[in-house]
Amino acid sequence: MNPHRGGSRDRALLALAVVAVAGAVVLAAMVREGVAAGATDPPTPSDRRTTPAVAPAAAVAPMEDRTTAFVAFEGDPRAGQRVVMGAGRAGVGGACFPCHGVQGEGDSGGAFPRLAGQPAFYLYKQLTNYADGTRPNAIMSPIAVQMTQQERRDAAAYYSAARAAFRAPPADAPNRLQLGAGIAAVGSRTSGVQACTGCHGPGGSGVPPDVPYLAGQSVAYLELQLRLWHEARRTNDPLGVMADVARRLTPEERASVARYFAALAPPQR
Amino acid sequence: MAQRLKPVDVVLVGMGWTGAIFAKELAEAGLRVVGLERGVFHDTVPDWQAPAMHDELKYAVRWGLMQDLARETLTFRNDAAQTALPMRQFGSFLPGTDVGGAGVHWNGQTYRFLPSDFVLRSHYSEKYGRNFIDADLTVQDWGVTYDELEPFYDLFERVCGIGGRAGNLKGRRQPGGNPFEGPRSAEYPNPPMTQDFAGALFQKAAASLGLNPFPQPSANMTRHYTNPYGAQMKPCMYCGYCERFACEHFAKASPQVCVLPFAMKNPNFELRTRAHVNRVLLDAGGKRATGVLYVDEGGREFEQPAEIVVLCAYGLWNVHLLLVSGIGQPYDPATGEGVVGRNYAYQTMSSVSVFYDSDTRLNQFMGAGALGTVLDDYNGDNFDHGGPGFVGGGYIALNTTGARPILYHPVPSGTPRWGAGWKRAVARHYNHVAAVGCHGSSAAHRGNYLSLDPTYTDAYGRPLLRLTFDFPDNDRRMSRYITDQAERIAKAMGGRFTERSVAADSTYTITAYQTTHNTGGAIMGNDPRLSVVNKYLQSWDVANLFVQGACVFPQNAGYNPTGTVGALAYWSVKAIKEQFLARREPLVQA
Repeated sequence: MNPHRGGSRDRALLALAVVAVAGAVVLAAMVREGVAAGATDPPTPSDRRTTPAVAPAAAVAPMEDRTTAFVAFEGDPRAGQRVVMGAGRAGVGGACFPCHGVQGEGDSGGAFPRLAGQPAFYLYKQLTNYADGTRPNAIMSPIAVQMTQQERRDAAAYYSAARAAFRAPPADAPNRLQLGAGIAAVGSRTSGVQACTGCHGPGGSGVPPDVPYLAGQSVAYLELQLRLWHEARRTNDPLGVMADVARRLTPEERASVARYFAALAPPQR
Repeated sequence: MAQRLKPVDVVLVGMGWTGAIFAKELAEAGLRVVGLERGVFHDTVPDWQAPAMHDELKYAVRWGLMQDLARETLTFRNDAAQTALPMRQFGSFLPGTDVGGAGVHWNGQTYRFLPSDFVLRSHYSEKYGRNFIDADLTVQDWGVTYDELEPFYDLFERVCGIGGRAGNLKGRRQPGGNPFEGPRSAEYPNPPMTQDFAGALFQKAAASLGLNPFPQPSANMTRHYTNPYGAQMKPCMYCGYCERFACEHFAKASPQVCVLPFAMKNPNFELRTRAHVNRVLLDAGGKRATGVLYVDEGGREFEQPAEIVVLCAYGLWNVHLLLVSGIGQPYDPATGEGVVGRNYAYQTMSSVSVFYDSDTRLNQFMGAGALGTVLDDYNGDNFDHGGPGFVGGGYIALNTTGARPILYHPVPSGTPRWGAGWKRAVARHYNHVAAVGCHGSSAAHRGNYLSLDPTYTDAYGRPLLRLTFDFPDNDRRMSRYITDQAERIAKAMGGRFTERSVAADSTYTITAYQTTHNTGGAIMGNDPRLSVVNKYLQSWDVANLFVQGACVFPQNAGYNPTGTVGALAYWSVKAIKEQFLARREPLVQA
């Protein structure tokens, strides 16, 4: 019996209990405020001291004035820690740590991804998309809707700065890992899919600010996400590339590539 | 002794854009087609995948996708008084090799030429008088008109999935597009690319001066797209690795992505790689091509007999093949007689850099080969040439093709060339310089031409191609004028200072990269004394020989050539299918 797994299951149960309470609170809040999705703050004025984030591709028509279209990203990890611990607008029920861990180590059960060291802008964007419905999720959407824009930035900054140990999953069948590695590195000629590493970086190490790392993420989480892309239940990729990739890969290819990335150590930033 | 192979209907020399188009179209017409390619086969998966494809040292600095100069190169001189020397390293231009040719490593900037470009000499003569054009210029009309080519431009744009915004739909002006373009029968198949910050600064400045900026037509996909053949393309990720690189995302139009799969699945077509064609074979009378002679990877020589020969290699090497095969009369600049090699032209490039304060971050590493904002107010005859007194013009553009780490380090003049001072300047300016580029036309001049070198030979024992070129005075005047306009825009872009660089301010140098837009040498026209091929790109001398590529341009316009090369290929292959196959004789009487 793997004690690590047992611990995860306990945490997951705890989290579900917390979330059940939180969900009711969130629902009530939404009804009260008349918010369907996306309680958004006014856009932050451009601050060029920080690195401008990529503006969503479809948001602005090309020949409009784009000279001020770049939005700054700035989050405070200390403030984020409070949100993670349950002191944010989403309250105790919206605390991140019960599921994702204090250090963002995640949960090998699959529903709760590893967050430690993910690009901050990526995490912030996911929280925004949980709220705006392009990445609907029974647990995360109600929490994200409650969070302010700044809380999303801060929580993202916290986990982006966090460091967590990695425990490799049990070894998988070599031929399956090999198929996954091939897709990761050069793509699939028969399925018409390009290499994962083209966007997700060498070894699936991620390309900040907006492309997450895949290395060391759990098999179940990676497989689930590929299925969600495939079934168009996750649509928050501005160019539809992940939907296309997931649609083209065979179930065997999806399973193999998930197992391959899960076996790699996550990047140390 | 060459081994004689089984005869086929068509042999294609070179398998880039035009080879792929001819393979697809002629195999479909029921002909048995063999494509001969000197390089190897390579494709999106598995060959072009990142991060290996983003190896700037391998592909951009060491020219990974370009031809092998140790086997075959050209010699160069500025004028006939000099002795030409062989180019042992790439410089001013980069001819590709391998299947897909330069269509693999191009940027994807895909233009149509202006209606007046196709009737250059008659247009300027009528409008500005018979003596307006400098006496030493040999510019001429194309023999084909914009209206004739329009449906084929449209088809090539749909095959490539070009993203852009029409400025003239069936004669009606469209907001946001190029108001000067010839009438289009249809809107671009895809929307324009997402404009970048530097492009937006350029657009704002240009609009404030009353000019007409528009999004650059792009073969980098702007959404998921299926072309008329059924090729599925994917949206560009703005990674900034187009020019000199292949696209890992199925997002840049190339022969491999758009056309070749549909030729390759036709049993009528056979692709042979590592097959270097050294000569076109003629019958005893010299009026009919009987096939080609090629050498394979093992050095074995083969004769491939064919009923139709189509030269689809890079323009320079099509001209070389004509010269070494003794087809057509070589051009002699002393007398002006002869046609093969005549009217070599290029492109007249210049730029104005805008240096910004360090709080203006342009982030041009997020780019794409054809991501740009352009204006055509000073191209072709879109402005009055009566005062300036020259032929031609160019587009002015802010392109964000990817600020890659090794080759992109813009610094102001006066910066040390190396050491701590250089490093400080690179760090200071890397993300804070925008370059306004001028893509100038190139007028044909009687002294600029291609011929066979008397001294040097290639690995196959053939004389090298010799290039004789310098910027004509007309183009120097044109380039200065256009750059003045670019400078006016650049100064309105809000930087601290600007610096200009004009290639034609000095003698043409072949060692500094300018652009891979070599044109002419086997030009098209209506008069066999002034052209190598007729309006259908059929040789005047050898009726079953067709010549493709930018070598047929009588002179070069102020645009990138690929759109016109593609349109001409579709125009030419249609004439073969619908006219030549039935009669097998000259399609235009000399």
